[in-house]
Amino acid sequence: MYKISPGWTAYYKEIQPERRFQLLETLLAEEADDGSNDFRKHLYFLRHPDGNAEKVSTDLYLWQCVNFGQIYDTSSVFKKSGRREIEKFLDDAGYSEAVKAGPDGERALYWEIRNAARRFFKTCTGSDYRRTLFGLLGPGQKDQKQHMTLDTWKMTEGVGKRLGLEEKLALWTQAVMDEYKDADPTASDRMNALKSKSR
Amino acid sequence: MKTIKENALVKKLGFNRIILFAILLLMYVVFSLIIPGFAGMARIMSIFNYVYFLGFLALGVTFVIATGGIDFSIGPVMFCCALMSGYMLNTYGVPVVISILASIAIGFCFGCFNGSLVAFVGVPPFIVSMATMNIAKGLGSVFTKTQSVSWPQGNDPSGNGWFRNLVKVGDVPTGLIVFAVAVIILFIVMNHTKAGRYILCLGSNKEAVRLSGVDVRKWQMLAYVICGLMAGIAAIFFVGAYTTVQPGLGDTYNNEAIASCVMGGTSMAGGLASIGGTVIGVFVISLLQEGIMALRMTKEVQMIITGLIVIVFVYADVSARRRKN
Repeated sequence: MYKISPGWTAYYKEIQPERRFQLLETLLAEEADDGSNDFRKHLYFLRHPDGNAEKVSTDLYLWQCVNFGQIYDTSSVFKKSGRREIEKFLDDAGYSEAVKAGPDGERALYWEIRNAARRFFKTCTGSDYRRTLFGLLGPGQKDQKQHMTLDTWKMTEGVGKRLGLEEKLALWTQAVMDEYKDADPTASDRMNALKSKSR
Repeated sequence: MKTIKENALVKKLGFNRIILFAILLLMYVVFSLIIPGFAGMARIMSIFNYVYFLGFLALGVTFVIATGGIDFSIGPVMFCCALMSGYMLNTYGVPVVISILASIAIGFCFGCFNGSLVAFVGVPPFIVSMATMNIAKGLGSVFTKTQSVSWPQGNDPSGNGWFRNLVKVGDVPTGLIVFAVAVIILFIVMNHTKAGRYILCLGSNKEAVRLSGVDVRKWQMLAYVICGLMAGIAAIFFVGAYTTVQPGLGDTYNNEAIASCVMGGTSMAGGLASIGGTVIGVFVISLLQEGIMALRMTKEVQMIITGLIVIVFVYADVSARRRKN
C-alpha cells in the first residue's frame, strides 16, 4: 500500500526533523517526482512550522499521537469537544487536503503519519515512558510493550470508534497501525489480543 | 456486569465513580445504623469541615499525580501556611485578609519550590516532596518558636473572626459553596484547557510531549504550583474549622489526600485524572474519619485504617492496570 521509491525510504525512516529537512531538500532535487513531492514538502512544514530552523522544536503530528490517546480517555464525557479538536487537526495539518487530493496526497500523508508514529514509538522505549508508583518504578520491557499497544489502539481505532470518526481517521489509523506492526515481530499478536479483549 | 458497564449513562459517569459513590452511601447507612445520632445535621457539618481542607489538598495533588509525580509535602505545607500566617496575625497584628493572602502566597512559594526542583533541576518528585515535608515542618516550628497558633474565634472582639464565614454562616455550610466553585474551576482547568491537557499528556508520555514542542518543564511546574496554592487555601479552611494549629504535624493528611485521589480514579502512573472522582474520594475519607471518631477509636487507629486504605487502593490501581495489560 502506498509504495514509494527506495530513495524516499531513508527520509521516512529518519526521525530527527533537522536531518529529515536536509534529506527532503536533497531528494526533491534528485528523485523523480512520483506526484507526491509537493505534498511532501507541504506536509513537512505543516507538521513542523519551524521545519527549516537549525533546531526544529515543534512536531504537530507527534503531539497528536499523544493527544488522541488523551482525547480517548476523556471523551466518554466530552465527545463533542474531542470530535471538534480532532477535526480541527485534520483540517489544519493538511490531512483533509491530502486525502481530498487522491492517491498522490494520500501517499505523502500516509508516510508522514508513519514517520510521526515511528518517532512516537521510539519515545515508548525510554525509561521515562509509563513509570508507575508516582514515578518511582520504571516499567519492565513487557509492560512497556503492552502500554505501547494500548496507546496505539487508543490513538487510532479507540478514538475513532468512540467519537464516530472511523472513516475520517481511516488513513491515520492505517498508517499508525502499519508502523506499529513493523515495530517488532510480536506487535501484531499483542494488538490482536487487545482487540479481541475489547470486543 | 458487562451490560451495566456498557450502559451509556454508566459510561458517561464512570463505572468506578458510581461504585465509589455507592460505597459512600453504604458507609453512611452503616454508620447511621450502628452509631446512634450519626445521621444528624451536626455530624454532617462536622464531615463537611473535614471535606473542605482535605478536598483542597486532594484537588491540588490530583494535578501532580496526573503528571506522574507525587507530593508528600501537602499536609505539612498546609500546616506551615496556617502557622506562619496565623502567627503574623496574632503577633504582628497583620489584618486577617493579609494573613489569608499570606497563607496562599506561602503555599504558592512551596509549590514553586517543589515544581522548580522537579521540573527544572530534575530531582525525583518523591525525594523533593519528602525533603519539602521536613522543610515545611521545620519552618513552621521555627517561625512560631514551636508554639501552637490559634486563629480568632467567630466572636473575637477584634472582628478578625469574620473569616470563619468562609466555612459556615449560622447553619449554612458556606465552605461547601466555596469548595464547589473550586471544584468547577479545577474541573474546567483539567478537562477544558491547554494546561490541563498538557498536564495529563505529561503523565502519558513526557518525552513525546517534549519532542512535540511543548515546554514540559513549565507545565510540570504548574501542576506543583496549583498543588501549593491549594495547600495554602486548605490552611484557611483548616483553621476556619479547627482553630488551632500545632507545629511539626500535618503529614497524616498526605495519605488521606493521596488516597482520595487514587480511589477516585486518578492513576498513580499519571495521564489519567478525575476531579469528580477525587471529590467523591474526599467524602469517603472524611466520612470514614468521622465514623471512626464517632466509634471512639483513637487517632492512631484512624491512621492505621487510612494507611490500610491507601495500600488497598494503590494495590487495586496496580492490579487493574496489570489486568488491562
